[in-house]
Amino acid sequence: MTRAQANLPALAVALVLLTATAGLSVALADAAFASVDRDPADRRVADTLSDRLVAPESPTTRRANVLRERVLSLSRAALDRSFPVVRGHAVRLEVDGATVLDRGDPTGGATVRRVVLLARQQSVTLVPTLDRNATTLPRRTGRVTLTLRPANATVRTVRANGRVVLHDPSGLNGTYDVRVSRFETVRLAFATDRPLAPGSVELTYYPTRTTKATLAVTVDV
Amino acid sequence: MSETGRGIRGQGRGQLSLSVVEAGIGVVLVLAVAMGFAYDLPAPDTRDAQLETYAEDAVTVLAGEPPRHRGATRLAEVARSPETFDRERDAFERRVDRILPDNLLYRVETPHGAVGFREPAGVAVGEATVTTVEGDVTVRVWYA
Repeated sequence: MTRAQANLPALAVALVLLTATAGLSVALADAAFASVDRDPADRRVADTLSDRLVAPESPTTRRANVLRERVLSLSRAALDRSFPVVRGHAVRLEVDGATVLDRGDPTGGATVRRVVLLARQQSVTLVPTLDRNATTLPRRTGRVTLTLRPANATVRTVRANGRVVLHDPSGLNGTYDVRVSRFETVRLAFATDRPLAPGSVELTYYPTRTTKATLAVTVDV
Repeated sequence: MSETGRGIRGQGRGQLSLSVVEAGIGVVLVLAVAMGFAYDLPAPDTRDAQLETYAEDAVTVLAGEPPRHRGATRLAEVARSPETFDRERDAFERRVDRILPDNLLYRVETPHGAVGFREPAGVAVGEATVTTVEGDVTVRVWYA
């Protein structure tokens, strides 16, 4: 009898204690769920910035996922100007582990890695030996600069793989920029009224060397 | 025997502490659950998204490469016929291997065969497909 009497307040105290703890825990869990990051801004900005950096129309690329060399010397102002998504955020760009740009300290932010190629464009100038008024470029290129100095011959048409790229009925003379396909080896043919003298054509072509690289974009908002 | 005697004499105290012990255990259990919320909720798994990005980048890079001999692009050349696939497979595999980061394994499927590794079961795989004039080419990557 005395034992049961002594237990009743203890039970009450235990119940009060347990209910208070449970209530507190539910409140804590509610706060945790309410404040959880359902829209991770770090990752979104990093993702968007990396997408823009490798997009074909970006100022940093030659084509999709092929970066120009200038990305290695990108300034913070240029980054903000071209990619406003990252304005005011801590950011770090790494190419193959070497930091090429950083602002603030984005440690703890989200990192997105992209597989890219780094393109280095060279220019090679040569005076081709013409075989039947035609020549084949030794390497693939997207652009050719032609300098035509036909002494007494008249060059009316220049064809690249049979396609007319330059034409002037009164004769071509001077420097011309010609776009050609970088997907095939280019054979330039010159339609003239008489064989061209050696040295009357000088051409510059722009082969690109690409090396693979990993671009890591880290952003902390 | 003497212990039993002490137990009987302190019977009331023993009964009281049992309730408190029960309540204490209950509080500890509830707090243990609550602690799970007090620390950060688990971060979303971003490895899958990164794998998809790698696969997308790999097909983008490959699709933009000029062919070694003839064809629209390098991928189209590989996917063109069984002969071109056999001729190009070693060079193509080396190319894919070079392009992807070292911590990735890959498999590239073309209409005339596949290059790369056998895909293991039960790992996260990033996949991307690109359409060429000769058919679809699919790249799958996973962490080594």
